[in-house]
Amino acid sequence: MKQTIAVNNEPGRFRQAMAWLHTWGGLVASWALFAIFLTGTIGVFDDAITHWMNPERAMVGEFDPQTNTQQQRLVAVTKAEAYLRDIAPQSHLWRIRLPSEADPAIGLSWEDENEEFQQARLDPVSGKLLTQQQERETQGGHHFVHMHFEFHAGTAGIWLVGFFTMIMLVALVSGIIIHKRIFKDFFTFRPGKGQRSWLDAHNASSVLSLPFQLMIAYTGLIVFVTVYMPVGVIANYDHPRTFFAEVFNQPEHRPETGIEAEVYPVTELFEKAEALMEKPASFISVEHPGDSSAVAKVFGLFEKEKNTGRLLFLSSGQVILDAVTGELLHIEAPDVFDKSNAFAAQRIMRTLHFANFGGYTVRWIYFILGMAGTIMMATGAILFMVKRRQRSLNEFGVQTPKVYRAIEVLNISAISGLMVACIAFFWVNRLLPLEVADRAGWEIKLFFFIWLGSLLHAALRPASRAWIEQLAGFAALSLLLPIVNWLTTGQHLFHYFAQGDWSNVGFELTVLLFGVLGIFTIKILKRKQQKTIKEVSRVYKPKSESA
Amino acid sequence: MQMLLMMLLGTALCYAGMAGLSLAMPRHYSQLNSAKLSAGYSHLLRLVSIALLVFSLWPVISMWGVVVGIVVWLGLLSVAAVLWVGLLAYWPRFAAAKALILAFIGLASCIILWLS
Repeated sequence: MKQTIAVNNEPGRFRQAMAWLHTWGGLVASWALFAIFLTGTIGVFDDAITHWMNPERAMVGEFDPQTNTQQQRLVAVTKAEAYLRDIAPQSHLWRIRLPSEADPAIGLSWEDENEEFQQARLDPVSGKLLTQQQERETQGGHHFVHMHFEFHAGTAGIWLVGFFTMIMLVALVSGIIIHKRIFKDFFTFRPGKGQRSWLDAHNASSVLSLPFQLMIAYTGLIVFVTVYMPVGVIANYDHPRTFFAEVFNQPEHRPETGIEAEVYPVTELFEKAEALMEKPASFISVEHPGDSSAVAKVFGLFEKEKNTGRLLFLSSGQVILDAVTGELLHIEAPDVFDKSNAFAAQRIMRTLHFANFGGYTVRWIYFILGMAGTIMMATGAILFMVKRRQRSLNEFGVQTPKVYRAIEVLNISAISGLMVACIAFFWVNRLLPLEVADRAGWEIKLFFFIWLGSLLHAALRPASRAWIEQLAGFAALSLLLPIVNWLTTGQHLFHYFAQGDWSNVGFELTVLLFGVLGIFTIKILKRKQQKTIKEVSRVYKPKSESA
Repeated sequence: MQMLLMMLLGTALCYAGMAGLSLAMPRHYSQLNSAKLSAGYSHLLRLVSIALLVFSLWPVISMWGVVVGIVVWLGLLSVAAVLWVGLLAYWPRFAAAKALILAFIGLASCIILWLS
């Protein structure tokens, strides 16, 4: 007992223990964290990506919020209502999103009899279902956002991401502890020096962006605070809905009664809500339509300008109505925040995480610093192997070479393989035939297949070759993407320039930039490999001559 | 447009400030210059750099207000430092010349904007 205390008091020992934690904890989490970071960073521009992935959408029609009248909105709701009453009378939930600047179609989603979510999009003029020729079915940029917070795996995925985010916080703090010269090496990056350079890159990318990395990891956990820490709610409330009613300062969710009741005309509910809020609405949901517990929630139009430069968003207005009698249940006035301080704190951190408080300026800052975090993960994982490639540390006895090989293969497919899969996702969007059933689902399946393919490729090829081949694949896919876009849709960079479609111009230029960066990385790797070959042949030459 | 200009101004000042702070360290000073960095010069560089970083708060806060301004400014500091470290490693002379020019342009525009 005495001995352990003495050992713990030694600062060197403490640092060593932290180094062990940082190395192994970091390695195990780095593959998942690289995926979380890369997709999250790309997801910063989810709307712009969705826009690029929907080349036909602009042809559906222009939406101008200035000329949008209540009459138009009511017509849209009537059309949506008719469609939902027809296709999903036995649903638990209807949702209608009105045409907006980002999306000129009427968006519908509902829960079918099997409690699965279905989606449909209607032409705002005719009220008919949009065909695949008018609009390709795609997840768009949301694919990256969903990869980022749940790996497309629902609640289980949210828990996994939370688990790895906790490891990230541990790795950040332990990393600060083991970094002996955090201020001396603050601006240090020495390229072309092998292991030294990898360590420099790892240190510089993390130290220089440290405030961002700490903030993004912590606020990421807070976004899902009630998922990750459910005990407080369970201990204090009979039902989570009581808790949420209190937090949102709204009447409690009404459970289904099983008594049938006709739905109040949704269009009339919508009109009533707009009158009560004294502003246009943009979204309406009906919970349990057809049941006597049915409730309609109408949301006011989100006015971007009012919330730019704010961390605590003001309410856009919301009206809750009984969807059987049409009676008013609750009204949340627009342009105020009428909820508790704890909830305000959570909302502010959520805004900080979502990067939606300052337009493109803030999004670009997040993109650059997110890339710094991505580089931190990648260089950390690579550094682990670079250290051991020169001299094995024999952590696993006779099995060590096999374990190292497995780690190397995982490194390659987790880093360069995911990069290939992400860019290939855009190719799939352009090349997958429009008529394919569940097209959006196939885009994501193919994304995962390509990623899996990269794992297979990494396992079959020597490591140094596999890195270069996958990076070459990434660079080629990036540089050729604008050409594929031109061949498949007839749209290209100059076309976007001429149209003043800056979102698509930015998208394609960024993709091209990453293609060029890929080529630079390959060049650096090749130069390094040639140097190593020269060194090796120099060492072995005398031997071969004497033999 | 004004937003873009003010943000560029903030980034320029942050970049120049970060550059100065790093050049006040002998290791990075020697990347540019064979002469030895004197203690007095190092102190001066550090003071000027801190002043530049403080100045860089002004365009950002004038655009975003104090609360969000400080958040955005912290982000800009990191972005500027990453830019500087990348350029210094590969093109040290270009990086430093750029810092000097940006410091002048940044300060001059601050004064002009402040007076007008």
